[in-house]
Amino acid sequence: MTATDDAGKALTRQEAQARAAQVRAFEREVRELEQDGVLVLGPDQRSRVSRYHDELLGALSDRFDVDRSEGQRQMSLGMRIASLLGALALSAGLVLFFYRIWGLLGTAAQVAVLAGVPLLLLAAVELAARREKTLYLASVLALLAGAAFVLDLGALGAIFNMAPSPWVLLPWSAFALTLAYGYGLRLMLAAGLLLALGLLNALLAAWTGLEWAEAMVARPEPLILLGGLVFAGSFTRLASSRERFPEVWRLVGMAAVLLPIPFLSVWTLVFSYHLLPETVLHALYDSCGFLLPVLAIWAGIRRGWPEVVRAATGFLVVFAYAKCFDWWWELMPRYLFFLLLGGLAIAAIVLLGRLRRRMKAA
Amino acid sequence: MKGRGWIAAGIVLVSNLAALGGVAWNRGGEPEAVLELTERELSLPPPAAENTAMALRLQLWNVLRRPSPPEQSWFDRAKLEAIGFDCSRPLDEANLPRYRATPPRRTYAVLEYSGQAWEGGRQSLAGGADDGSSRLMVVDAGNDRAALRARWPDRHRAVIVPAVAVLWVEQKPDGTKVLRGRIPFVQPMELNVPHAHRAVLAPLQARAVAAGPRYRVKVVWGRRDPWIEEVSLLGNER
Repeated sequence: MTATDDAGKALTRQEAQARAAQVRAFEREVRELEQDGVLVLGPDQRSRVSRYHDELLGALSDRFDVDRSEGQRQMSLGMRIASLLGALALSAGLVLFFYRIWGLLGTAAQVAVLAGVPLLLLAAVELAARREKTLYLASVLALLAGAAFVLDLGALGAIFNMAPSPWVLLPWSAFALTLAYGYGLRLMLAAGLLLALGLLNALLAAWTGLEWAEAMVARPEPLILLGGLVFAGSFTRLASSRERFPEVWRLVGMAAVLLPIPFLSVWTLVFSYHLLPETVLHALYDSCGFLLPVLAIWAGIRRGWPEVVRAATGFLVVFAYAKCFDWWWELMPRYLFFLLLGGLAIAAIVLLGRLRRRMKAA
Repeated sequence: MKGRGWIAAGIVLVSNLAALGGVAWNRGGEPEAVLELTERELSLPPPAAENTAMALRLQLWNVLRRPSPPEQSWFDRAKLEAIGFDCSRPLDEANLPRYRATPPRRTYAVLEYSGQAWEGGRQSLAGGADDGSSRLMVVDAGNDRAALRARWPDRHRAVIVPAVAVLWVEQKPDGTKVLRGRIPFVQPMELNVPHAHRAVLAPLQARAVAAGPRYRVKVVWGRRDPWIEEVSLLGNER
């Protein structure tokens, strides 16, 4: 039994997991049909199907380490959460440990430790990736290596009293992206893309003469365009060269496009570069805040991007509430404000229910 | 390690080498300035349980503690515009929120040690008495580092450092408003004490601050960044 699809094409891990889920669903459905007397498989047929599925699941498990049961799937989810929390805790521990000991070391030893730790962790990532197909441990170690590299350059800056520079984001971003593409780590891809976005926004702020460290967050308008480019990047070969990477490109791009909009819409004066009159900007960001997520939901449904639909829906709800607060909080009594919000929520339920029925009929 | 790991390792090595090369370049040429400062200008924080590093914090002369500091009266509308702040709108109620939301800008500041401006400020505010505060004062700012150096040529008294400038609206006692600039901080604000000099300062960390400065620090500003060259004790601390 080889791990290929019906057309003989090699499967990805995601497709292998979907195939395993399909087998489990088939087994459950056959049991239901047999109980209801709709279908009764003969002993020979049952044995052949069962043998085929056992071999298939065995092959998928050997090659991709897929979850063969619902229990295993739940365990995998738990391992993913544990690996993220573990990586964050270990990173904090590493940074705090260095701060605890660096005063005891001479400058040469400080530099050697700072550069050596990320290199050692890179070797550990490689070792873990060779031994474990699911890459849980490798992703923890990769995140730790990233934290060690951030500490490395940050502490070098402190040791030699360097003035901060936005360019430090370049090696951090390159490091994260290299690990992401090298090992297929989505969390590192998200980190690398976000750092690259931060770098470009900071460089633009520095180019206009602003204090870049503050303007990187306080002047988010360029992120809308840059996020659009990252979203468009999800259609490129670079994004699709790794399994489930286009999802990450789309989500990071969407976050960069949508997240600045509530701030720019409510506090235009504070957050905008003011390239257009304030009233125009206000109207523009109000419109974008409603239209862009609706567009994203529509595209997400058509293209089969559930992560885009979920993120855009979440954003739309938050933005709608933020705008209601912006428009009406000062104008009406509190009870009326909350009654109005509740009324809007019910109207949204009715509207979405109608759309759902229409989609069902279609 | 396959190619994937080697590339990441290469990024780590190249970044570290670039940083160290930058340090060598910074310290290689003629220093930008050499100042001998004391505890008044470089304060020693108490020891921290979670951080064994030692860094001295740069203290500028009372810039933030006194409202409307006369020592920065040179930082007027013209200087703000020269740095790149947009001050073209009239300063009225309609434009006030916009001015108040103006983001900080990067520039260079001139720090003068124990100079005429500090002497003048001390005379006007403390009646001539030495209140023990820093003698390092921001005396000028601008985006052209060479022009600033030409105006402040004494490299043993004045240093030109990267800084952040902010615009603020000053309300005078008669109610009129004027645009002013301020340098809230320069970069870096902390100077790492190299391991070789820690032994001099470590015993002072746990003790209460004395009336006068307890140590002198020779700071060299290189082509880009400063470093501590020498630390020595003063007076009774020797």
